[in-house]
Amino acid sequence: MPLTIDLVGEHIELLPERAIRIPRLNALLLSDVHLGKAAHFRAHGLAVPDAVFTHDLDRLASLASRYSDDIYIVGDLVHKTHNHEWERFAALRATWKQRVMLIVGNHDRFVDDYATSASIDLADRYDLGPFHLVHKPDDHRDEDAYGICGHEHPAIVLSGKSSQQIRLPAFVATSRRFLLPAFGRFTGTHVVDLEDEDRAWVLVDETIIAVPPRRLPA
Amino acid sequence: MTSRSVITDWFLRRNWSAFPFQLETWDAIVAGKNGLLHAPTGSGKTYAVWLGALQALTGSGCKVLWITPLRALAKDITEAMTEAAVETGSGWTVGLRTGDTSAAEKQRQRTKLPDALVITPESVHVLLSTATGTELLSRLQLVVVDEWHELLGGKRGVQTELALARLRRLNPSLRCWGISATIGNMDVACDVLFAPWTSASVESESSATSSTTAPASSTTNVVRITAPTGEPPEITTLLPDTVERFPWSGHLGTVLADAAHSIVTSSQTTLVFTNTRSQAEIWYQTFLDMWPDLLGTTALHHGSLDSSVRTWVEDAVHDGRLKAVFCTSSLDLGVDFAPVDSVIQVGSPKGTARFLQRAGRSGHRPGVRSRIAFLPTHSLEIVEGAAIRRAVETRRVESRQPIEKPIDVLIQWLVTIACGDGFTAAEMLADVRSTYAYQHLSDAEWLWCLDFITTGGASLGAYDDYHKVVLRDGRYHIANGRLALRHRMNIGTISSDAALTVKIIKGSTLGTLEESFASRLEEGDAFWFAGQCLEFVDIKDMTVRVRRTHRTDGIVPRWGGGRMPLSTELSDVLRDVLHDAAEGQFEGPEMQCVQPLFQLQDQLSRVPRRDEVLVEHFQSNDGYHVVFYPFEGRLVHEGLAALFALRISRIQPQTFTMAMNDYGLELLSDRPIPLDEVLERGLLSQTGLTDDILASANGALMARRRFRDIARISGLIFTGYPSKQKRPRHIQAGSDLFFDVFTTYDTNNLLLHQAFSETLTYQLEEERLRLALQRMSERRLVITEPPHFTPFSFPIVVDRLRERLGSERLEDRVRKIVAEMEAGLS
Repeated sequence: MPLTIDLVGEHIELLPERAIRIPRLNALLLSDVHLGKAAHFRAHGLAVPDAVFTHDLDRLASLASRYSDDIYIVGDLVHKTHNHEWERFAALRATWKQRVMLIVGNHDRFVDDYATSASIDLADRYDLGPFHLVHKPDDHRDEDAYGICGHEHPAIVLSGKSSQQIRLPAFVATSRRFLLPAFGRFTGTHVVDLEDEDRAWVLVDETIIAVPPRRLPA
Repeated sequence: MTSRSVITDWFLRRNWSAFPFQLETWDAIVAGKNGLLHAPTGSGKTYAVWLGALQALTGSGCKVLWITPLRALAKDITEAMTEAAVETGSGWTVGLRTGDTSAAEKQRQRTKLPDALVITPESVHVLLSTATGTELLSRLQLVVVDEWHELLGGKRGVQTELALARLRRLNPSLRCWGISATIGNMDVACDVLFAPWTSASVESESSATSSTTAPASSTTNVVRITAPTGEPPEITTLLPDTVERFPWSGHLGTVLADAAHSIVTSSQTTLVFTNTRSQAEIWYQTFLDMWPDLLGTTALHHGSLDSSVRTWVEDAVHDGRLKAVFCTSSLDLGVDFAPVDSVIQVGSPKGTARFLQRAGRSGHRPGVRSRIAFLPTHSLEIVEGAAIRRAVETRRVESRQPIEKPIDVLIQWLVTIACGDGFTAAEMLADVRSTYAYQHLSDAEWLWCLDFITTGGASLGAYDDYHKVVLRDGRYHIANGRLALRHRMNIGTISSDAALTVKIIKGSTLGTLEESFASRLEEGDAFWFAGQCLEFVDIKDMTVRVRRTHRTDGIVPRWGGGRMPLSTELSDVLRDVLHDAAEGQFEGPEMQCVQPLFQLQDQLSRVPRRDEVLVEHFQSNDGYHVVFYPFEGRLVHEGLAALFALRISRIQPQTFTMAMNDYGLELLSDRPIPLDEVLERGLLSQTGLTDDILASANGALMARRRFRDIARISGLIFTGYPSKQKRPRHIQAGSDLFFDVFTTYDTNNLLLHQAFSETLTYQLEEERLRLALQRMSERRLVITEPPHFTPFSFPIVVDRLRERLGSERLEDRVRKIVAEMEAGLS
């Protein structure tokens, strides 16, 4: 179930597929897919189950067919090397009518050569309505509008009784920018420290749960 | 080949005469037998086997492989073997090969092969991962496994088993000798070591009378030789003048420091063993504060100190330059220290074998008996002095259980051999199943492993570009040289946690700290390490940079690794000792000393008999307490506490604070605990136990932690190349990520299953827990309702408070509680 929140006066839908929608702007946003990572590992003899990639691709396909929104990928669409995962993504992209834009991330090195043929627009940063899209939060400047960023792979640690802890991927909204969770499932997470005024929503399987401030670690 | 007379002449020149067990071993080796020599350290076991080899073997090339668990031991053994080889004029040379051996030395060994090679199990695997190494090892005539008892209980033991099976495949007439100290299950130790020689899948050379299923020890080709054990050590317990009736740890120690000091001053060299590295640091500091004149003749030795520091200390002990060394298990093994004439054990001995091993570090001169003093850290622990004495007298030595079927080690092994000569499936399966560890490996498990290294498990087929092991002309080989190089760098099963080097700015390297401790330090923080107070500056490139300081307010680092529990055997003896005390028998100085404590325990509650389990149920300002006393060791109590908490809260939802030690466990709640009801409704039941254990202890989290080592051993993650710059970052992923994707996308992954089964077996000790529950339900539960804490419960309570309060506030609080209770008694 999507969860609607309010962000600088816009209604935003948080989707359990690890993406967000801005219905008024016909925009679907996600980041850090890291296409090709599993295949890259496998080519180096590390047995990552490649169902993890199929699962990512299936989620992309399902989002693109459910919503006709333009798709904005806020960086790190690909991981490192060109391999079959890109080709299968490009084949899927060919079936989509909507526009796809990639805000280039630090991992998107080989994309230049392939983006045009896959009809993907490239930009280093992009203003979308009241939002400014840029991959790295560090590249989000003071003079820019409220940011939507990737790169961090944010996760939140929730502590339960008897010192049990669980680490969950999350959407995070600070006063200056919104952090998207990594879309790819084989990407790892980075625990972010929340300030008092920050809000966060964790992903538990197919559910999105708002983190009550008091449950945050001191 | 060297004749017997040359050997005995050499003995004569050194004023030695061969022991009967040495003669027996020589004869057996000359007769071409396999054997297990059961001999303690310092008994001349090396000469028994090595001089036997000199008498028995001829030919060129590397003839003897001497496998030893410790790098430090390897160097000393090489020296001792070389000396004997030279002085007997055998013309033999001895090489050393461990992870520390330089490339130049390895090159020399390639061009001029030594007659014998001293090596660690990991280095044997590295040799087998190259064609030249395999060639070298294929001409071996004898393989010796030294300190087999040390290897047996761990994954390095399994590594050794696999190597032995392979070496025997390379040369079917290869002989094997094991050397082991006393353990409780010598028969099993023997069966495991010689499984490849007796297994049905390898042609047995033993006589027709032995059936294929007969254990090795019963076959005529394996001889067992036992060296006579010397006099048992002289055991004393250091006792306080008056015994506190409410014992608590971390307190009695300093009272007894004087007694320890007089042992140090009246001995030539004393080794003071502690149970943790932090304790060694604290005791060293306490000693120097109390007796500054010991500065310069006192040293510290533990596993986190830099090897240069440790080597210096070892040499100084050798040369008799030190009066006392505060040490941990880092000095349990090793070459004999002639000057050491007394040993002190601070805190619970934990196990008989360990205690004897430590005692044996003293008295290595003719006619000198080993001496060990036990220094209890709280008054109830004094009882363990009586227990350990009884355990030593009745030879209740711990067993070591061999590890069964670790999938991670097997996967590493298959890739190792794929890097070397390669293998055929049929031959390799036969070899693997000829080991004890994998004798029950199923066809499905075997195929899964083979699939994992060749196709990477669950795969997309056509698109896939998985590269690791490939099948060429019926043999499995590594796919390319780069993968082989990376694999060799990661051979081994010893886990090394992320450790940061501690270095004085513009000064020397002192040792290592765990990342978890180092990351909490801030600039200007002071901590004690390597016996000095250091001020933290910063962390740079995996190095903690510090400067020396004269401050004394430093904190003492904690190193992980967990606290060792009391062994099953010693727990058992302890229950006997308590039974006697309950019957009013207070024999020996320890029990006489603690008699007032037991009288109070009996007055307030009860001292349990052998057929009883004591449960104390009472209320205090903190809430409602239930304390169980199974006397089963800390780890089992940890499991029981979590299990009981889960089962009670199912009947009446409530949360608990849990605390435990080696004797018992406490559940504390802010609401009354319906003890009778939960007992009636199956608190101790065996039904659904495995699920309850996993659920109660957060087994998933534990399995996730266990999986770190498994992922590393099986090659999913690597710790990097020795030159740290070359860490292949682009294929680094944390073990957590693998754990997650396997859990979600590959639930049949055997490495994942291994993480859970290891958690149950080794971490939660499911078997011991099950037995403990059974024992508890077979005995009579005696529930008492004491007015407040008892001598038995107090140490547990203090440990619980310690977690919350920190040491200074703890001391005040504890004194207050004790004063109140003592006042209530009078």
